[in-house]
Amino acid sequence: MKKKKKYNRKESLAACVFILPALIPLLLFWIGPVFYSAGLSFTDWDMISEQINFIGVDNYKSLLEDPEFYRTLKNTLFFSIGNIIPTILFGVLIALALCMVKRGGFFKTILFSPYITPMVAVSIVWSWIFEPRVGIFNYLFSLVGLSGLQWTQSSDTAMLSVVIVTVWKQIGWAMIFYVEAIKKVSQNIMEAASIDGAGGFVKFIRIIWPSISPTTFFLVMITTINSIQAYDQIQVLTQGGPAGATRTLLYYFYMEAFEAFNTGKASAVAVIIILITVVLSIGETVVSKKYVHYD
Amino acid sequence: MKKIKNNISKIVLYLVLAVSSFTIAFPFLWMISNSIKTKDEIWAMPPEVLPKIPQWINYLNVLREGDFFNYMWNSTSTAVICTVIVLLNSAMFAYALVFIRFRGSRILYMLILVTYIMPAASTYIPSYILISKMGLMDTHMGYIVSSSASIFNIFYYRTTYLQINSSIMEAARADGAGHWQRFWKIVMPLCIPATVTLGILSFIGNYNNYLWPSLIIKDKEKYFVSMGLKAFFSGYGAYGMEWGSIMAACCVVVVPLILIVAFGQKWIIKGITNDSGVKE
Repeated sequence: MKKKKKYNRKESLAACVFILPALIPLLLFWIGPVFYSAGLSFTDWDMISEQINFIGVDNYKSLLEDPEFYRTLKNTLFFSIGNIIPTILFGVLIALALCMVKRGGFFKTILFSPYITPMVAVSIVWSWIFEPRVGIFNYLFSLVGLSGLQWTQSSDTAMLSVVIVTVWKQIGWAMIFYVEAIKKVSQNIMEAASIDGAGGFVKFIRIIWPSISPTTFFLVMITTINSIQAYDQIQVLTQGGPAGATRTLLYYFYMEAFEAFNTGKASAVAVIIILITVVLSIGETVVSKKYVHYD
Repeated sequence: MKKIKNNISKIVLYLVLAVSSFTIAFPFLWMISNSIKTKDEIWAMPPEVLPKIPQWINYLNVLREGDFFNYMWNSTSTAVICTVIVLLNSAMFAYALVFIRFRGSRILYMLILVTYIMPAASTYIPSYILISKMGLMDTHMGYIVSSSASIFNIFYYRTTYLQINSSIMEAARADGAGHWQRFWKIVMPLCIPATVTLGILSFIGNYNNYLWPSLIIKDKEKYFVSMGLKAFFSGYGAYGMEWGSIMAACCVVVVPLILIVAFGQKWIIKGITNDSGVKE
């Protein structure tokens, strides 16, 4: 390949025509706002007043000194891990079962359906399931002799409740990706392993799990990003409570931005959310270089 | 002996699938059964599986109090417009990335890659300000304008295009077809499966959207489905505890979407992993 590339002017013009219809809204509502948010995070603006004062890193300083900020950070971390592990685990197990039966289409549709229903609607349904006095969960608990939980109404179990709803909604989605990945695992290698006398569990650990590692990586990454951005289920089930037990970083951002109108401080939170997402994505990519096997 | 063992393992597998499917489907079943119970039946302990007499009046209450047809129309019309826009401009954008050589295409691709992981929330405040400056606050147009780019769609089309046999494109170029013609006559017809999948996903994403529209739309007449449902839930739930009607409202919103999956499952479930976005 030559180092100097010649670009055809006509081609460049065509490229402009094809790119602009998406690039304009992308610049206006995605890329521009990211920089604008970064700028606002150094001000004390309240969204209404004419005057905007530059206050340097004061917003960040006050965040880093605020114990509430660390609590939302911790909540976000618990929420993310609480989503990722069961989603991956159940996703891969159900996918394995689906791949071993002939007719799985019916099950697949049912398992996938929560993913496309509105989070607000299903959260409302779940809030009734969690109801401490007459909800079905506590009834099932009482059947096996356990005392009921307060679910969304206690700060000990509220996060668990939100996690259950979130995982329930995305298991089917993760499963679809795993089914496709497992189907592609080389049958030759599987048969060779069977001839060598490898049992199901050994085959899974030695052959299937490493082969589907790119899918696992992808799902961990997307689930992380989705967890950081979760809002609807928290809003319906707990409004970030009780006593801030389910207030994630994003929910904190929402409250500061659109309830308290601390635009500057909220922008600082937004910037921190961006930084965390970027750092996690880079981190997960680095880790994946070591453990993920691409063909 | 081996056959028996095989049969047993098959039964176990189906049992596992049946139990997990039932667990996943349970909230929906519970929602439906509760939507036709009386208030006493709903609050009964131990819970009753089905009502003695189905209370269809709950649905009547929902339609009378909730204005749900209006919310559904708002969501549907807006989601359709957004979907058409993002399908078209994403397909074009991805075409330029894959099939046109131009200065800056690598930088543009990197930009898209970075934007892909950007949390939408980080754009809310500036987008909110921009929409109010444009005079589009509290309008569906404001939502449409701010939702008229989809990075996911661009990526999906890009992956799909990369599977297109390059000899077809070469042949078209040799025949003198310009980019516009190649885009409409060759690329788009080949990518119909991808377009259908993305169309359904984009539609559902916009239809279900909650946080962003609730920030820019305040007029109850213009509510989307999720916002209308939340308002109905807060209004009824906090004061009346009319759980039967609330569950009926959830059914009104959820059941059409489940029907979409049931009928469109071929497109959604196969398409979501993007292994066969190109027609063969």
